Amino acid sequence: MTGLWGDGGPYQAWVGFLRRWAALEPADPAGLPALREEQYDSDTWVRLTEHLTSALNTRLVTWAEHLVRALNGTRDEFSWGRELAQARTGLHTVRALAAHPGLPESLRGRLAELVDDQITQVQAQLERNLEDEIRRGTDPRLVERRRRTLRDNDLTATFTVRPAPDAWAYDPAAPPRRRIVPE
Amino acid sequence: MSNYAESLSHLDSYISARVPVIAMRTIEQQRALRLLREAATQSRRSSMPFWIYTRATGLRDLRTNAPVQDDRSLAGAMDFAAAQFGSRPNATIVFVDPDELESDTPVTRHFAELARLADSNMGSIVLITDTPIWSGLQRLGMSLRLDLPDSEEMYGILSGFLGDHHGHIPIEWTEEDARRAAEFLSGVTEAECVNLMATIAAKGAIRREDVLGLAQAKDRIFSDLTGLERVHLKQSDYAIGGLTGLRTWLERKHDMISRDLRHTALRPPRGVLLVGVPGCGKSLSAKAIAHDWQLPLYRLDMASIHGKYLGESEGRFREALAMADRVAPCVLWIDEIEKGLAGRDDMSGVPQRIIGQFLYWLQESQSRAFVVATANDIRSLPPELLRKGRFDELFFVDLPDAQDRKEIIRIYHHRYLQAHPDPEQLDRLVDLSEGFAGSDIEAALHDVGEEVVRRGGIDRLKDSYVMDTFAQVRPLSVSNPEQIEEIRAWGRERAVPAGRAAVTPVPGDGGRTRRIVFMDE
Repeated sequence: MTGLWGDGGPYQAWVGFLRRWAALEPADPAGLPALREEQYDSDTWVRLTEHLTSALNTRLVTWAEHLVRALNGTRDEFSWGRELAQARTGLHTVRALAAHPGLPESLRGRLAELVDDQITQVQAQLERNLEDEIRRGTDPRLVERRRRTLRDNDLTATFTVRPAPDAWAYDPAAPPRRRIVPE
Repeated sequence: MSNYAESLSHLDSYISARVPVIAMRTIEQQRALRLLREAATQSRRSSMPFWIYTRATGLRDLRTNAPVQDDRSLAGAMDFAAAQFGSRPNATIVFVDPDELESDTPVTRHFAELARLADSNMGSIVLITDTPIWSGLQRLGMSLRLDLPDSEEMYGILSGFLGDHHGHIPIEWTEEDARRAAEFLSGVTEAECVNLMATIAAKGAIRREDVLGLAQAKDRIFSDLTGLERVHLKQSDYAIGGLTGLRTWLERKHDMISRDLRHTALRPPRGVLLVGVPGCGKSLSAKAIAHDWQLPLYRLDMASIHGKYLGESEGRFREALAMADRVAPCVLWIDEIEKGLAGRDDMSGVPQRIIGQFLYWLQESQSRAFVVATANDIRSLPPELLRKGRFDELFFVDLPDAQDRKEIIRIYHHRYLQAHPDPEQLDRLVDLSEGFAGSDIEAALHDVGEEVVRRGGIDRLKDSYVMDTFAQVRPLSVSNPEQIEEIRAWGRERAVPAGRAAVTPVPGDGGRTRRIVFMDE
């Protein structure tokens, strides 16, 4: 086996990566090669895009399951909002793959649209759940407060807010060090 | 061995033993995590993976701090832990401050199940928390408690702070000063120590007198002083007349309260019990000591200790003593101690248990809380309290002798009349006040002071008015000489005189007579 099939080339690199990535195994997208549609026949390209959409879909489904579980585990408004805000981290990861520079621009656009559409739907679903709460007789003031938390921590903010470079990357074990600022 | 080193040693053993649940109880997460990282980064453990989970940071590699997964929920971290325990041996996951660990909840049940999974493959969960852990989970592993930094560790923290500010602001402290400050800061957390020091440094310099200032500033970090009342001193609290013997003794002890005793077998001064005639400056002494020693003064009100529920009184008393240890160095004033410790024949057993607690604390506490206890009714004091070794000394405060009265009259004359008495008048007042307690002299001169205000100045007051006022006072030694004599008889035999060695005779007691000489005569 040599050439294209010897090491599987970019196709194999991508598919291997997508399988690991979808399964939440360690996988680094930084080293992925660029893909060009004209390199492949149409069936191969379709299979590749199916791998891509499937991996993105799997990650989004897993992400949604984690979010629902985390939200259900909260006992106060702050924790509920915090889970929403923290869930954006997972969305940034999915959107980053959909916009990977190694993908052709037209494909990037379609994948980004697909992902963003799903995120919008999850946000809408959370809003609908609140409407259901009112119909079930939950105190409207509590529902209103939750709606506010939901909108304050809107998942679709991932479309506009750039992910902070690991904002919590402080060393929790570091001793307190300080130098005062003289007047 | 310091508490930190001892905790590290225990943690080290538990990690090597692959104990499935290691519960570390502390109010200082940072120190606990530093301890954990120290244990994890030992070269012999380089192949053992360690992860850490906190609410805000999610799950990260303990050594590199690199994030592990996007899901930052506790449930997500527990799933990750389960996956690791199932797939590889020797995995350790640290959970920082998870909620609801205290009782049988879904969270503790889930942790218990995770611990059993960990146990099946030499995995380990470390729980860092400031609350107790549900016994069902606790029993699956081992626990350790990381107490507040001791003076040696505190010295290291202070040295780090001073090093960071060296050349930045003037620092007058020597190593000895830093050692004393470290002793003073026992009972505070590492973060509180840095906050206190930074507040001092923010003035622009760290002076030598700031060592004592630390003791005063320390109680500002305690928002709730359980069982203790902070007594703020007025200028008038500082002056005390007489009690020469007590004052000489206190001067010797003063040096020891702030001295570095690490290399000796000595313990810091424990305190003094003042018994004797009412109104002779026992309570005033507590305030004067706090002022002279520049230490904060706390009052332990024995009456407020007693509660109506079973064990409540003992609990409150224990908390109050623990708080005294935390706020030390300080002067702990226990006024009329006999009222809290009386009732040894009480069927409830509460007074006996409180006495037991107090004696144990007096004997064992290593804190620099200097107790000044006062008692009027010595008959109700438990004899074991008076045994040598409980208090450093037992002083008997008698009625002031002529020299002490002269000193006391000068103090109150100046305070209430804003003038010093002339020598002749002073001698007469000393003569007139024989048998007076210090409080009698104060009350008489207070009355005179009111008259001065009423008449519009001391010039408009006849000297005879002061003499008359003194002559009209009927001190306790006159109205109840038997009680005074009983107290004095007890004091002569069992205690060290707080004044000059000789006991002042009660009027009429030794056949001495007194003639009141009025200025008009």
